[in-house]
Amino acid sequence: MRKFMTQVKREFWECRTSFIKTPMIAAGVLMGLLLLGIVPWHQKVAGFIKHQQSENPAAATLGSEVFSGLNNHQTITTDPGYLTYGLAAVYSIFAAILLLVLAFYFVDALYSDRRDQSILFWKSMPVSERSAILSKLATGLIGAPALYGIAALVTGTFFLFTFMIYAGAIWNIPVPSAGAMVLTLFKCSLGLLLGWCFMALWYLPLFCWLLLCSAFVRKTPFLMALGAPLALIVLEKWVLGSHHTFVILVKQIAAGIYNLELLLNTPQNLADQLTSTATAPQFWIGLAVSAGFLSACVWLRTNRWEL
Amino acid sequence: MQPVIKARGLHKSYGATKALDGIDFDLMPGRILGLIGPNGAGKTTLLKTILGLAPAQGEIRVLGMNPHTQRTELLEQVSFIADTAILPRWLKVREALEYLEGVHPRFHRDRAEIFLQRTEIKATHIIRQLSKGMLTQLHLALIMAIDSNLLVLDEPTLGLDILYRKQFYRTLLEDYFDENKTILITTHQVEEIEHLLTDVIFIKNGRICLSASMEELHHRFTEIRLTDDRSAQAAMPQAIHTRPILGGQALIFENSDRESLRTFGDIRTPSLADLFVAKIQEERRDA
Repeated sequence: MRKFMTQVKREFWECRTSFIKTPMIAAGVLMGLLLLGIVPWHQKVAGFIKHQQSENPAAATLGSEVFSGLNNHQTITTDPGYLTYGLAAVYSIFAAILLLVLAFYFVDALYSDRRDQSILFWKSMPVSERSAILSKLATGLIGAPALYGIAALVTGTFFLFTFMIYAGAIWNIPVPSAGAMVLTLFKCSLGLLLGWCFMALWYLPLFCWLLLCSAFVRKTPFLMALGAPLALIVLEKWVLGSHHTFVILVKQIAAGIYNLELLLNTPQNLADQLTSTATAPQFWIGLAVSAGFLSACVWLRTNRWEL
Repeated sequence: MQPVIKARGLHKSYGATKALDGIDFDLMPGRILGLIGPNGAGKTTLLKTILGLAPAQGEIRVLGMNPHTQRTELLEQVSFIADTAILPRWLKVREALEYLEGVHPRFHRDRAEIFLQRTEIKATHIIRQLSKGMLTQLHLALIMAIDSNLLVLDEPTLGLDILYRKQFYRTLLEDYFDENKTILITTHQVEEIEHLLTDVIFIKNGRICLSASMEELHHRFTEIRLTDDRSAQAAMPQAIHTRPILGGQALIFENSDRESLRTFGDIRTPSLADLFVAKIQEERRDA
């Protein structure tokens, strides 16, 4: 276990920017944008109060809408769902960045050490190829998402509390109790965790495909990662006139996003999602294909020597 | 005593080129073997086979294991430095120590740290910041802190200046080697390793053209230096190699009686470099 954890650590050392700096920067930027966003909003609301009969009716109208919404307690106190939507939006941004980072990570994971020839050093260590590949997969599916999750949670908490302090202290609007806020945070974060698990399982064949490309090519793994499916789609259309490959790929990608967004907003739907996922043949076929891709990676790393 | 490496009938071809063409040898524990050959002789292929990095036909056993199928297990007892430039450039020195500590059951971090204290390498250095000499020092510090039974060095001092090269081998002998360890070295810089080898193998075109202990070399080969007097040569046995030297020539004999040769002039054991040239050229003549 210690050996495996060291290998995961190694991945973080190599991808410090992608896995550690990027979520921190994203959190900083989002929190900054939130603070910056309050300023014009505040001006608009203040402007509305000060110049109710202002010569600038557009600013007054917008300000009045926001203010009356807040003042009627509709958005915040009577419907905690609004908080969830706000949090879900913040969390979705982190999930989107993570997916992009993971695509680059997996497509490079079994290629970068061949490119810089450090593979000879790694291969001089008593670490099997299987455990090396699994540690990379675990880093991408569990390690990196954990860090992105923490960054999302910090940003979400900041977002929630800033908003509450602003609404409560500046405008004296009644805000939900601390308990309700913590509950919302908890619910939404649980949704994020569950949603990611589903998404990761749906995207496993795509991630494993990227790993296979990175283990297979001699140069530019991205070309194979995108080119091979594209060629398959075109070939199918040309030879058979059908577009099954395209549909399957879109379905797989859509299922991942759908599961994440649904559970993010309503984690109580877990049971339904479990049932619908477990009964989808495409899900199980995807897992089987992933296992095949991984075995091919291990074989390539063990039996091919090109340096 | 079990040999550390046992190779029988190793063959490997890349297309029409025979990289290994029937290699047989045993390496016993506690020896330092120099594997010497011209470029493209099959040295690297042989090392890859020993380390389980590439399969070859024939029988190969390292510490009693099959290097290809039992590679992970084997690498707990075998260390290798393949080249000076293969440490990952993004890794920090501290991380390299932590990694080895985590994955290698026989790595002693304190030993590596003591060795590094004697150099200018800092734990916070990133590998890409190190000079080529420092890289080799670091790699050696990592490898020497592993209690391995077999150490394989493939051109470990390539591209280093003479000071680093001397230091490398001195450290290897003084701080690492003992009777329980076995070392296999390949290098082009024959002169520098000559004094530390116990055994030597010359390899050419995938075949072994000489395999002997340094002790045997002393008995088997004799060099004699003659002034430019051809008359003496007629009475001598057939030399395997002749080369011009200042004011005369040097002849190398194989399996000739030392005492009878002594009557013709000063005799000595040829240097490994001269012997290498002699044997490789002899092979060429025979071919």
